[in-house]
Amino acid sequence: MTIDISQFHESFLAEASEHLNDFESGLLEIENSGEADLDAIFRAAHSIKGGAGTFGFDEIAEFTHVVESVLQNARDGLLELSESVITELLRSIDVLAELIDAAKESRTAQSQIKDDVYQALSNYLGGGSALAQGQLTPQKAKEKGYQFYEIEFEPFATMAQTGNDAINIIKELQEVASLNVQCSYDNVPPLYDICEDEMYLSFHIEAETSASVDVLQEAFMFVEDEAKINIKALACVDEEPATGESGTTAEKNVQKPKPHKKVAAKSVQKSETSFIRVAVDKVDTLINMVGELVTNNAMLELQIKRVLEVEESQDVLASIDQMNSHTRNLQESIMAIRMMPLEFAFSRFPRMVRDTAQKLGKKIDFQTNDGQTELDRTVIDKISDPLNHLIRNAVDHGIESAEQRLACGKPEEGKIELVAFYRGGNVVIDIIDDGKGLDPEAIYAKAVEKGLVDAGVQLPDSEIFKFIFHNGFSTAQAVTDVSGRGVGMDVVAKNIKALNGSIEIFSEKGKGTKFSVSLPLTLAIVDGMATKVGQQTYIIPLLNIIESIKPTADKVKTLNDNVEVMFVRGEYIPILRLKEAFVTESGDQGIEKLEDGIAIIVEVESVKVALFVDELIGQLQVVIKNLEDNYKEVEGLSGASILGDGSVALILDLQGLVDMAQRDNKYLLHLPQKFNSIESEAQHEHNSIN
Amino acid sequence: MSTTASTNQSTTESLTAPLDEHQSDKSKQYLTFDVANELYGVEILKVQEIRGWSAVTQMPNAPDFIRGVMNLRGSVVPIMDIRRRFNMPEIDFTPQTVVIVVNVQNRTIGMIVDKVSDVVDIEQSDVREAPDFGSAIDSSFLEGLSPHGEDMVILLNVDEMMKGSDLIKVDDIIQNQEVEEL
Repeated sequence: MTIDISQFHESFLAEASEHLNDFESGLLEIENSGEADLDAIFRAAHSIKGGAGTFGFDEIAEFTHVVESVLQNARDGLLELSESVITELLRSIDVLAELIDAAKESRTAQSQIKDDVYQALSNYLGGGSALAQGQLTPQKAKEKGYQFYEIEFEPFATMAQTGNDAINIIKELQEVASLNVQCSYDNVPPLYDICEDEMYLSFHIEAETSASVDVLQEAFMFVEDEAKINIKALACVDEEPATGESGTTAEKNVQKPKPHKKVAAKSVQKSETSFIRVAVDKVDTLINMVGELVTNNAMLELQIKRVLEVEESQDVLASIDQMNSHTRNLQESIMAIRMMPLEFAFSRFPRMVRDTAQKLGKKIDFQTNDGQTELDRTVIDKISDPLNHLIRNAVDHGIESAEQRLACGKPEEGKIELVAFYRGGNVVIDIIDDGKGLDPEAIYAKAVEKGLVDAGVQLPDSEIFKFIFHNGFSTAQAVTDVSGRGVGMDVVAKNIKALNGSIEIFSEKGKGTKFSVSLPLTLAIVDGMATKVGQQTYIIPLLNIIESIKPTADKVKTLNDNVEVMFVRGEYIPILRLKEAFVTESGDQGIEKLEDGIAIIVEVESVKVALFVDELIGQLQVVIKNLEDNYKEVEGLSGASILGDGSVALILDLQGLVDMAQRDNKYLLHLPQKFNSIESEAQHEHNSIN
Repeated sequence: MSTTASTNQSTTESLTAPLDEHQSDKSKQYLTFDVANELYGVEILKVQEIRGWSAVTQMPNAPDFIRGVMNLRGSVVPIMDIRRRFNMPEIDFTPQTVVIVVNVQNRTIGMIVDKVSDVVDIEQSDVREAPDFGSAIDSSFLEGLSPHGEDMVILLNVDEMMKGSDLIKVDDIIQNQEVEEL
């Protein structure tokens, strides 16, 4: 029987990527704390190599072999993990990531630095085949002593099911020690009870080796959780630590007890939660189906109320109520499947901070909280780039150089914190630095220069900071002039808005800056206000709504004959009639007279617009459906949703609507300063009337 | 014949494929339906289901032949009016008016037709190339014409129709074709 192993390629490569992440975070931890959990790193590298070898990715296997050798030397104390070694190892991660990506896409890897890194790493190995000699630890090499070990190896019945073979493990041991193996078959059940994928044998092994107990332990690396392993030093020939150790077993070596304990604790944690890999579209199908179920429930309820008398319907309605709550629970649970810990986005930042800081010659202590806060996968995918940008900015512009910091009486090392937590229905991610902060005066001056605000207008700092999100405001030159917040903040703000999120800035000159990004838990659901225009139902995202007002004749003015504005709390807000923006077949239906309808004041990108609709239906939470799936993108709509009665309602994309209106040149939404001047004129006019 | 087929293959593959001699012994099943007293057919494999007409939600700023979208078990599906698509006179919807839901390029779309007729087998060798209809119907929408008893069935090329209808971005189609060819 042959097995087509290519079917496992995908999961191997996915796992390899995860191992790389462990590898990277392990390295960074060593660099930060100086405390080595080299075993974990080594294990990650070893797993990649092993898998790559098995599945025929020779390039990956070969490259990882060198990396592994360097790690082994480091672990055995033959090589000091200096900053340069760590840098090379980190670069090797980049190479491996590229190799793995290439394998995923079945193309040839194009890594310019691969040979470079390979050479550099080989140099650390001192040219000699360190792997072969590496089995001798320094002390051992000095003393040339041989040690006897007694190993009890009792695989659990389930070990074979994890793909581990006891024979291979023993063979691996044989490479580093001469063995005397006794197999015990006491536990073998009667023939008819034997299950072909269970393991019944246990082994008593006597090993004579010059290698350390670590090396022996390594053979059992993959089965630590799958078997009872007990390694005892029998007779100590000429070394003292082993005697002290004998009997303590799984805690391997006294030399580095701390990291070992950590490893043990970690592996326990890992085995407690197990994972399955599921394709996202399968989960999406589930979400769709449950969404349907919710809709059907509502329909059923409506119809029963219509058909049955009140007394008759009581019991039925009670059951339906119950069913409703079960369905909601089901919906929530399925939504939870899509949630991923933010760690997935956070894990790439420490490396980025390190590299950027090193390039700029700054010292930065980068902290994240546990990253266990969960967010919808799609949100995580899309937030990673904006966060990356904000953090890079904090490193580049926020934190001052070491000299400047010392001069200000701050510690030499700058601090950047990345903190995520829940607040209401949102996840908040704070990026906090203790750098030089934003200078409101400089930003204000720049804003005046750019014509974004009239000189002399009083603004609170929080409003002033918002100018850095303006397009073109943050070109490199402008920013260094001002206070040094980087390029492309407008893009950051835009991306966050696109996720229905918001960003706030808190900053004190000289003390530091905090960017606070608030994101909805999921993109799949939106809180909205359902409104009616003619026969159409439109849903307006609740996040953007400020208030709803019934227009009165005296509050509405017309400018340039075609622009209606409404006076609300001292501001003139342009009115956008939905039925005009959205031309439909029956589009001329819907209320014409402003006094008969209702205006919903919404704010998009600090532009306020009054959307005019016939009536409000009510607030509801809707599942967003793509229009592009079967149709195409429609300007001004972000999607559609299915209402309780089974009909389709359209969800407004307010940014798109405003863009449309601006393009049609129909509404006065162009530039804030223009708007301001009209506003102040209008205000003046209004005051004089009064 | 074979030379024309090969030169046209890249552009109108589905149009010329049935004319290929090697496939002449094959027959395909078509769902036939009436629009303005003419008999049309779509390949049955493209048909997902048939539904009665029910009110739709209108799409803003859409071409007139897109009547709107409806909820098809949780997905939002656009509904195209065949009469409007082919510039035919409009009639009021009757109880016989149905929506044929087809699957094209991984998309689902509904077509409003006067009534459904039958499922018929059509020998590919019987399919004749459609003449140029001038401006009324884009002939690329047609797979061909086939006699069926006394009648003639106009075989629609739904893939091509969706392409021309600005429903689907052209890039998408090109990409999809590349994938299929692989």
